[in-house]
Amino acid sequence: MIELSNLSFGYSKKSLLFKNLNLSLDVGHIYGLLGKNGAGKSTLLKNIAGLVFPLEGKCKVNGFDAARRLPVFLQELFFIPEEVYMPSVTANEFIRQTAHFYPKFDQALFYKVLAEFDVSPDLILSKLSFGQQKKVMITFGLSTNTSLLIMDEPTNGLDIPSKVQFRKIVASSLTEDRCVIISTHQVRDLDSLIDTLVILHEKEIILHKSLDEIADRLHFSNAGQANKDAIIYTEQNGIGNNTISLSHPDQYCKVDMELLFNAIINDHQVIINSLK
Amino acid sequence: MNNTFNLIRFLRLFKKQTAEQYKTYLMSVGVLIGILALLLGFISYSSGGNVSPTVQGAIFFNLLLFSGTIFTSLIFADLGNGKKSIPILTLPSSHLEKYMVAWLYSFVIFQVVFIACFYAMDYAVIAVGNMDQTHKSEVVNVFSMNFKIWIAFPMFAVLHSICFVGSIFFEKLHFIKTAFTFFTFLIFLCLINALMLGAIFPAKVLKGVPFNSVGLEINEKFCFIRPTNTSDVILLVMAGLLTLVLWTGTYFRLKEKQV
Repeated sequence: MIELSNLSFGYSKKSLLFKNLNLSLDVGHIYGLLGKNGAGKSTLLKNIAGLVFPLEGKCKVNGFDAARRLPVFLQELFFIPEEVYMPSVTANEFIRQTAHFYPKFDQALFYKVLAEFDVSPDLILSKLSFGQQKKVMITFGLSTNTSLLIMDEPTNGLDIPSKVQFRKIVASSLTEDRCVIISTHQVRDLDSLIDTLVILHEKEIILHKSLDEIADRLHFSNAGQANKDAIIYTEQNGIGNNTISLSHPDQYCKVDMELLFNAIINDHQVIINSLK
Repeated sequence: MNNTFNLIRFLRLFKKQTAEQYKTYLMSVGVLIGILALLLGFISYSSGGNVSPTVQGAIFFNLLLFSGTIFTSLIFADLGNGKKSIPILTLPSSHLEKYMVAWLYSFVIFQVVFIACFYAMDYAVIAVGNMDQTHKSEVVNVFSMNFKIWIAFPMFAVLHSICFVGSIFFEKLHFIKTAFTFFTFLIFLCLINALMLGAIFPAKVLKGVPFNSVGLEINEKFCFIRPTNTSDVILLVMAGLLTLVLWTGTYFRLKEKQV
């Protein structure tokens, strides 16, 4: 569905954000895009959405060149930016004016999810709080049923109950013919939501693995439960040490994404190598 | 699916633009009516109810160009704002449809609304001014070939195209930056024209306004050459071509717009 081939991008040719990036993403997955602040997560998403153009290489979505922004490409894409802008109309008016641009828009789903988020469709959108505006935009994005849904830091501005609800709603919206990409620096917000992890670091995609594959190879635990002879990363916390060790066969545990992310960012090549 | 232009998609986009912006547009019309009422009313009051067609024409001419360029400069202003530009650029309609909606609003609809507002206020002020008057004022015909007010329309087309490019080229302060660039270019053109005339003619150049007369001093004799009427036609054609080039440039700038 998404094919990035030898993609290089930078806001100036002298300082590139990505160099010769290759990435292939498929439908039927929820991808978590992680990276440090300034790593270029939002810029990568903008490349995929055709909002910025690569300096070199190609970015194709459903076979279409993203940079051309053709209607046939755009009607299968919905992009929820970190900072949303809402016009001075109600949610009812907004879907009346905008929904018909998306052929698979599900109006019943829109009202259902909006009610779950506890936002009234009769209020003027521009007068809502930032969190509520974000909820409306997430609801609209999910209801468009586009084959590609991109969310850039979607949980910023959401309160704790809404974050839980967000995870539940997004997880239930995934279908076989839909690809969801969520970028965040708040790794815990993606817990129990994503199935594949993509980590962007120092101009490269340094990790692109499903959580199942990661869990097969690595064991995340405290120091006491770790496979002591196979510990490859240790991180201190308030009450002890968290560890990543190589998994024994038939040993399965939940991936601690925050620990994994910290380990990779701290230049632990051994982790990358052990996942290859 | 036609990815270049689809009438239904275009009409939906037009409807969406209208629904989301009509409050701003109505307020702008209110401001325009207020300025017209103030200007025409003040002149009528201070001249004892008499407003000559020349004065009406001057108000029409200046206000059309001034308000039209301000309005046009803001038509793509949202594209200079990252937060606002994303929903516009990712909305499933073609660049041509997005361009045409902006063009229609800023060029066609603006002029129709401006003319309607001008005549509504002009008729009202003249009617009030003509009460108990022996010598009655006439309402100006801005389309008449006898008056030169019609020049406002091709002139507006040129200025519209300049501001149209400016509104998408600059990220903010669109009107100021466009006006600054335009006047800088005009000054440059005047200076380079005088230099070129000096290089072409073996004489001292006394006057060399672009597309106008030439003044030369040859052997202590002064020669002023005025252009023929054909030069007006050439100027109009050149202005038309410039307008088309800038309108086309705006379209390609929109296609290449990045956030």
